[in-house]
Amino acid sequence: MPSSSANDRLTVIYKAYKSAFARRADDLKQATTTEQIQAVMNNVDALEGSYLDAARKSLDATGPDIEACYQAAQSATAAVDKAYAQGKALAERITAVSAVVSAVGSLVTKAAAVA
Amino acid sequence: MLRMVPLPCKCRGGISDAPTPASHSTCVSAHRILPARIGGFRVMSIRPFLCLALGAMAALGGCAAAPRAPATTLAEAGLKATGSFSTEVRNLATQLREADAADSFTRTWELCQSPVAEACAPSVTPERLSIQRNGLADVVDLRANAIDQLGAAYSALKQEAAYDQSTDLQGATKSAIDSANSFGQAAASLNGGKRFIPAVPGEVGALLDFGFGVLGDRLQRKRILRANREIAQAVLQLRNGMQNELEVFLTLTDYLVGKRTAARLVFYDAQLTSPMTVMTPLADQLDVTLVPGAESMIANSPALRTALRATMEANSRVEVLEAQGRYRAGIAGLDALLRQHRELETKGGVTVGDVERIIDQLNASLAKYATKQGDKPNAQQ
Repeated sequence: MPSSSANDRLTVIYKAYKSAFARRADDLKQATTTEQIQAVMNNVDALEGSYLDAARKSLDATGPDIEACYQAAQSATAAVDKAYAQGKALAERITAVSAVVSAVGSLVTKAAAVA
Repeated sequence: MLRMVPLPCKCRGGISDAPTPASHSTCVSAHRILPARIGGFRVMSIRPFLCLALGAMAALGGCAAAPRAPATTLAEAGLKATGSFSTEVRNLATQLREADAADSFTRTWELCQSPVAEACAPSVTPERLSIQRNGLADVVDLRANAIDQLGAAYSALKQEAAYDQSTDLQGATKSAIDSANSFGQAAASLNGGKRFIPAVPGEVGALLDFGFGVLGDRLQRKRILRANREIAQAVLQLRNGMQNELEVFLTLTDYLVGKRTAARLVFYDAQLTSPMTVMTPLADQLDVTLVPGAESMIANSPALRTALRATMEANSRVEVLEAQGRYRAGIAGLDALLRQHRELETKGGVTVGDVERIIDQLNASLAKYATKQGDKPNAQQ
């Protein structure tokens, strides 16, 4: 399995934030409870925080656990895209984005660690 | 006193910083020494001493004259390039610091579009994100500072090269030494405080005071060529650093344009801005004339408003590409400068046409950006 570069990791993190930010307005229009609204806002804010963190740090640590994090972030992002493409309910989409938040957070934490 | 008339120095082998052994020097005559009297002795009596001194000088710095004109040209190109690139990088830091206002506006508007009535309340950017953006802006500013320090080194090189040893020896001796020292400081700041060049030693300064113009010329040449190499080293370091961070800067420009575009779309959706700010440039681009009353037609047509919204989003893509192009042009400008440093080192001349072309493009894009922002570009023109 080819290893990911620091730029690959930054790209997947940035795209996860960018997509969530672009979908936020429509998600909020579809929200029916304050909990859903809060969840949508929290997800986007968390992804933005991960991106800003990633932009400041060098994500160049290596190792199988980091590759696993990178793959997990990619898979989670793909699952979100699929959920939106299939027109899943907001609750399901929020859960999918929350999974991206966790995966991206782990990727930043581990890839930025001093080797 | 001795009157020294500078004559052209005839050498073989072009300009080289390598010391030339006195016995093999092909320097014909650097100065014609005219008879004069010092304390009743004809100065011609000190000719053997002068010959020895001139030989030693040739050994110190080679035979060719200081490449002042090309060094000046290169320094000016360097000043332009660093000025423009610094402006671009600082713009990015400023936008990061100022993002909160538009961001808070956008998020609150979006919350207020929700059917959940209690969701509509002011929503300021979370403090954690604001702190992160400001921290990132500080890091970006460090890059701009490094570019500015490189500009200071070019400025010192320009000052050094502007100093005409042969025509203004006494008056300029001090400024030459100051210039060399100030370059040393500027270069040291590029190298984390470690000096690249030792300050001009006191005994050399004293010799210059005695009017050994030829020695000064050799030393100036040595300083310019050494400065050329050391600035080139700094350019290379900076260029590699900026290239390594290219992906971060590319995503940052996209991130910031995305924030601005989101806020602009809110203005548009809320009908706070005239659709003509988008429609008129589009009509110009398509070379068509809008009919009178176009604005009210757009306001009453959901299809036209939606189409213009799509145009705004497409324009933001162009804005991202332009910003990313400016960053790449900054790196290309450093590459072009490196080529000219090599030319000065190997041929003693420079042709800064490619530097000028790249920097002119960068400045044009910066000016366009500044006009959009309602500001004046502060890049060096």
